[in-house]
Amino acid sequence: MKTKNIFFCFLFLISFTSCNDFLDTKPTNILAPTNYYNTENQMNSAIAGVYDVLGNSELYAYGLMVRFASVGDEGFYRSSTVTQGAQFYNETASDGDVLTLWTQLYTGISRANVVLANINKANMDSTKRNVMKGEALFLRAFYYFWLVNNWGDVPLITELPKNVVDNDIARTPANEVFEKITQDMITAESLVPPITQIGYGGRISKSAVRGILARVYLRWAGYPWNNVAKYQDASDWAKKVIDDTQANHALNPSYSQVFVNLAQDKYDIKESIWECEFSHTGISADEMGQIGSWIGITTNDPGIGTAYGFINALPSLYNSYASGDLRRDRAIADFHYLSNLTVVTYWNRYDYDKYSQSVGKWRRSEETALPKINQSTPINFPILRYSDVLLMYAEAQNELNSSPPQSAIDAVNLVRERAWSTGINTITLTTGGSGYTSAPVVVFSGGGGSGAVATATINNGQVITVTLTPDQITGLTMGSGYSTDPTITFTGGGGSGAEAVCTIHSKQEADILMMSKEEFRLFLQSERSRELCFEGLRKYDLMRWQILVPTLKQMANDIITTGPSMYQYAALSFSNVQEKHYLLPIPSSELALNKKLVQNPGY
Amino acid sequence: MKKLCILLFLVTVLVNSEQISAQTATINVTGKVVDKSGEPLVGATIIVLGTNTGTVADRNGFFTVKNVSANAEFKISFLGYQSKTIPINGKTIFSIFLDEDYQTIEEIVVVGYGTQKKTDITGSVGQVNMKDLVIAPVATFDQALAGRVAGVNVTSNDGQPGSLNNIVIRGGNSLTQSVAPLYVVDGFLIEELSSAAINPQDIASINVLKDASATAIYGARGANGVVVIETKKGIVSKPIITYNVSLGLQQVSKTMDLMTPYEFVKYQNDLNPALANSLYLSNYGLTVEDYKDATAYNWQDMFFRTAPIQKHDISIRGGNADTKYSVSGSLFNQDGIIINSDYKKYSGRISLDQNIGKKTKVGFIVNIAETETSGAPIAAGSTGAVTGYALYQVWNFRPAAVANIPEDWANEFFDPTATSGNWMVNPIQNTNNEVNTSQYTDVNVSTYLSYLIFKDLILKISGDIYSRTTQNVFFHNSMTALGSPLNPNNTKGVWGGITNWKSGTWLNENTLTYNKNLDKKNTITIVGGFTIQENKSSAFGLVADLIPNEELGLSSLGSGTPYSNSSSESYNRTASFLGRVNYSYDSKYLITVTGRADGSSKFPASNKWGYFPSVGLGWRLSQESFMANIKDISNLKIRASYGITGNNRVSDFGYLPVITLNNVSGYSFDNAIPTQGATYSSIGNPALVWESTKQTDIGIDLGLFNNRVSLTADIYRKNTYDLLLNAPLPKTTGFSYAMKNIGEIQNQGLELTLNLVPVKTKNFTWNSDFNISFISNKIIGLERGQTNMLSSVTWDWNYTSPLYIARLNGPAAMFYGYIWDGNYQYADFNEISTGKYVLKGNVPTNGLAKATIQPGTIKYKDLNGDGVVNSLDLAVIGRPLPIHTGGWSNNFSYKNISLNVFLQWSYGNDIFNANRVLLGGNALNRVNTNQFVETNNRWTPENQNNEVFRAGGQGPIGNYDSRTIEDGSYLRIKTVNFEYRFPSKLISKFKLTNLALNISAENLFTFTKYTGMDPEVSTRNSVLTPGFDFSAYPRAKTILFGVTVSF
Repeated sequence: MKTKNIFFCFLFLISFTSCNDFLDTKPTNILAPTNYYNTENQMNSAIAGVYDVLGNSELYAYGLMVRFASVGDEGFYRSSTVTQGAQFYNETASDGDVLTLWTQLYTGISRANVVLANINKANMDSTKRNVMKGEALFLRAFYYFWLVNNWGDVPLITELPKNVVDNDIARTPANEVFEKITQDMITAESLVPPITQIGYGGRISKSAVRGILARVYLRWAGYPWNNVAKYQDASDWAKKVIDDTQANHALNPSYSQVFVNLAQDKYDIKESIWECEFSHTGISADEMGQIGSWIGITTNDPGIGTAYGFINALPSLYNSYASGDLRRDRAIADFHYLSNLTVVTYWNRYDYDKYSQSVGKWRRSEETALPKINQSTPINFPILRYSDVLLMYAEAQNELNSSPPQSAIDAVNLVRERAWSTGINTITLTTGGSGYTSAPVVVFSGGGGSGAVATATINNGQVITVTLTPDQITGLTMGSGYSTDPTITFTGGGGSGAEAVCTIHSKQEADILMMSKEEFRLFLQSERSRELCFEGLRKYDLMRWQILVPTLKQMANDIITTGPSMYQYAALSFSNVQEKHYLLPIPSSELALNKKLVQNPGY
Repeated sequence: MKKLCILLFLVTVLVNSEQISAQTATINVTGKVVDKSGEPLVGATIIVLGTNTGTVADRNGFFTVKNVSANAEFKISFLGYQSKTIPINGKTIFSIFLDEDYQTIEEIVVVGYGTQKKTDITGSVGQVNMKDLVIAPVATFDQALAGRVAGVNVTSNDGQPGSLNNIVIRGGNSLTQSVAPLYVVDGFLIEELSSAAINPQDIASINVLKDASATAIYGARGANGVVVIETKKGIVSKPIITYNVSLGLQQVSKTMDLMTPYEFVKYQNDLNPALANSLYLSNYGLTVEDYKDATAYNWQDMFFRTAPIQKHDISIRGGNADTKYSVSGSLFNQDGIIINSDYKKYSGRISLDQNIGKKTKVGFIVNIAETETSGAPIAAGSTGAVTGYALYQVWNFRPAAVANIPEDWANEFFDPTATSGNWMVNPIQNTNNEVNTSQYTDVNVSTYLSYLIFKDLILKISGDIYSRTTQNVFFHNSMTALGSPLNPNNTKGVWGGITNWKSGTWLNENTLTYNKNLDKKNTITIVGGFTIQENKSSAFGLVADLIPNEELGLSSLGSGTPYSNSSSESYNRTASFLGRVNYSYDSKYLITVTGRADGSSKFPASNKWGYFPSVGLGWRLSQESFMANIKDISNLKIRASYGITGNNRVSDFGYLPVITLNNVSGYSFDNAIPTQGATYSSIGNPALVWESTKQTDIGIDLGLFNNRVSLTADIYRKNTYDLLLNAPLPKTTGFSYAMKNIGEIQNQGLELTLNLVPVKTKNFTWNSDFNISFISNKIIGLERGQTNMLSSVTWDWNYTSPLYIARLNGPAAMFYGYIWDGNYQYADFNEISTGKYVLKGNVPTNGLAKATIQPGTIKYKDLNGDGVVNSLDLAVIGRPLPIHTGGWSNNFSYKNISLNVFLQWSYGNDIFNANRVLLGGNALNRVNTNQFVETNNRWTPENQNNEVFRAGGQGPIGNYDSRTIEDGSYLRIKTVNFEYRFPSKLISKFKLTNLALNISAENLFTFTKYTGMDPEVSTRNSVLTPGFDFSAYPRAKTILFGVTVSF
């Protein structure tokens, strides 16, 4: 018996150890980090994951435009039934969008941390390795910039978590976060290639890093950190972009074309320095965005491309454009689609209509990729445009000097002149003529330009008005290229004798003259909106100038006193704003899970 | 290596074998088996003890056994009668009477890795009365299991044909992991059993192992309880053929009362006069009154149907002493009571047991089942909005034609009144055009070999394989809401997809059983074993969109644009050592000690092995001499047990960090097809261990008056710790969740089972089985610093706030929301000018801006008195868990007639009736949609009540409040069966042994205060989110006529 027992025990032990081999299973369909990040291809996928966050819902797919940034003094949330959220300045610490934005930014940071941790592990070309390191460093810094922009002090994390238990991390003071952001971006600037070498605006280039550095320093110099020494850095980095003879950055001659290009996936690396890329249908459908649909011209028509158009432009923005400024009718759609039909109707420009106008920068009608997908678009988003660099340079220079230097004024004039019309300004009917049975054709001749189209209307055989004909893309067809007033003649219509004269716009109208530091500052504050409205910047501009609360309160007052009754609800967003809204609340679920976090004041 | 360890094990076993003794002279024996009234007991079994020889009594009760030892004993047994053991003593002719047994006390119960006499069991084992269960006209056994066994809670999410039932034994152990029990079918351990694969008619017994003494033998898979199913095998008999056919009809038990066209237009006029005028009224010179005679479109009538159901079962069973066989087949075909929702099932089963020589026995079972469900799941929405739910579509679709469209448009697809924000299609057309079909093929082969090593020691080796393939196809053509080009939210055009899953298990078990009567008083049984198992799963599928030509349906997928391709595969392995010792002294003192060591590949190397011990004690007081005088007490046993069991239901590689490669996290550089993104989808947790449950059980078994009354009572408490929780991480880590071992939950309860024979005369018998369970649970620990856990349910994107709260030291689920306080009334306002009301300063707002609150707007309790109702005023508003549940089965038989009435109930639970949120008041303020009649009683200046808020007075959108919490208690006449058996004298002329006609009804009537269609509902069922009702497929009322024939 005894030997038998020993035998049993022995058997038991053998089985036990061999069973451990049996139980040592290896995953067959999941990729384990230990076996990954070995090849260039794998690293390309890893860095794609870092870029991916740019196009996420609360960032450039729509969230910044629809929820967080555009409800400055440019637009308001169109739906009257939704009344809660960051776009109404009544978000609570448990707001879903706030949490999503926070989550997505830290997801991007975590993915960048993974790339940086494995960058030396992969077997790849050292130049490409350096570029990728630069991209990861820059994108991580960029996501931190959005965090600090919104929340001020935030936990600064540059490594993957060691375990799942101990992850209480306190907020790092914003100044230190800015320090880290700028350090990493400066390192990245030395690693990434020049934009001409890349050839398109979807990747991080030296120009993109420099321009964003200017944006970061400008923010740091502004409220609430007021680190005014940083204006010099902002100016220096913007200047680097401007002076880059290799990249030779320049504004596209047509303001409209900048956005047409984005809708048609055409790159213009001279002006559109960095874009968030969105893709098209089929297997790429997951990488589509909502630019043009959630912020766009409202329509149900699948032929145009359906669009909710959640943000309507405010009349104050509309009214801030001078008559020769072509940017107005691009930024704010001067027409709308009748429900369910492709019929285009032009606004009458009554006050009522001014509250109904959709954002017009991104137009689904201009998309060329087919089929058009409902509510999802391939339209790229311009994160950094050259005109922004010029305006940032002008602003920094103004702040650094006792009065704006000529270089600052030149930069602003460059931006404005590009936007200015050289077409017909006014048409005056001098003689109505007689005998017209139908409206005569209005012909413009001479003046050195072309493209002006006007329509005459008749009554009792007389021409009674001559007006420029509206056009979907350029707004009114004032034409362009005129250096002197063209002659107007009337042909056809069965009558005779009608006469009219016209005047033209000139680029010189756009130019600003020398002004005081304070005047220039105020001018820039509204000029930035005219040039860059709805591009995810406005709220943060108002914040760094420390005018968020008074500006929005004024907006609320305007709506309440002069707005039509059916748009009174639009005042909600603006009347809710308080000092605490300079920072978003830390998501309450984060406070519960990370004991070292402290809530921002007022939430 | 694994082969080696099995081999070594077998070698050891064989080394231990010994010879058994030779035999003596033989004779032939004949006899007749009858009951007390002299009726022959057809089919009574006669077994010669100590041998494999035996037979059954024929239709006249006669039997013959040849070549038996003259000094042997034989045992005669028959279900429902007390068995007798008779020594032959050289006699050759016997006349045997069997006494009826009210409660078969000598019953053998199948427990883990063996059988035990019921009297010897120290654990808590519930038995299903299969005779009562199989008469329920259902497709699978689990559909009829509710209320049958104390402590076993069976709920189905809803009544969709083929929908799964949730079986929870003694409360949910786990907060986020599976709480489904382990199934052991003919010894085969299956974690995810497809109940459809087993025909209820093939089941011989179902035993439910509840306490640790009974379940610890299943170690890491035992914590959720174990359901042990034995199927019918061959018997020693000439072939017995039984054919069973039932045909019947099903109907919806209750439909909702909806507004008439008049009421509807009146409501629309209250809600949005401009729209009502443009669609129905002044634009056409009509008034509300004109709609009193308008044709009403009753969409419910078109949606529900009276549906046929049929089932056929055929079996042949027979065999001799050495070979026993059983062959059976079944067909079940059910049309759903909702259009385009059907269920079909075919199954076949063969089992064979063969003796090879005196010591060796082999056998196998082959079971094949094909199941097909078609029709989109009604309770699962097709989109993130309420409009994606079929039943909601039916209810909310307007009952009145629009004034300018006089023609009948019930057959049109697109609703001409739809606007972009309120896009609707005809729900009947939509449901009819949806293709959503799942086909399941289950194949199970079980084999065993048992070898009698020496007199008391048996080796059993078994090998089982089980495979399930599932194919799901769906197709949204242009006549469905999801595929229509008219749908402004449809980005995919016409689209469809197909997914195939395959899962498989193999199991090898090797056990040694040693059973010895040491002397007259001491009996010991020892079981020891070693088992290995592997589970594999794989899936692949594709979805194509923008399909240009839809005419070919699924075949046109190839012409579409590939939208997503998916594939996955995984596996896990388990190896276990198990052992149990049962010791009985004089059948008075009983002890069971069990242990199992489980190794699982699902855990990291340091935590792969878990050890699960238990001990059970029993004291049969009725065997004590001091009880001998108390004649009325026929049985009295006190039991106690304690043990630890585990739950390993985590994903196969949950402890490992995972990188996922996909398009969603990719990026399109330079307009190219996106570079796929490689990102961490999980951070892993190298410290993951099993969930463990400590359970204490104290029970008593009492039998009175020769067991005419028997009572079993158990109280238990089980604490589950190291809960496997997908716990939230701070988002700053870059991860949202990680699998962690966190927290502790306690379940405790009381179970009573009472079996009575209230009336027993020569011709009339009444048997009554009653059971009741009280269960409560409590959260003992959560993530550090966490005092509660909030859970939300997904149904409409407006409702993202949590509806459930699990508080520390409170139940795992309570409804959570605002306390409804009626409506704001005129007294709450100052009338600043005629008709213009402003809320008084001291009256709290409901969260909306003051200006929007008007008389008749919904009102909530401002609990903290700060003048505004916000998240600080959220409170517990209901308890979804019942106080007690149970069942009561009554069998009446008079001569050849029998009647079974089975009642089942649930008491004390609340249901959140989400249908009423939208249709009994219109909380989403959706225009041009119908409402329940409840909304007719809305607040108006003429009807200033505190019931339904005024049109448009819904308050902040997305709030959950107590207005739609309802008492979900119910008592249901679940199954009624009436049977007539033709007298055997009559049918024996036609060589039949049995001919019976029956009528059975399921869900005949329900007593409840619940206003929804069915109180037995939980459309988002989990431990954390029970009792939610939205767009549930209502349970059918079924009536079947059946014939059973045996020959």
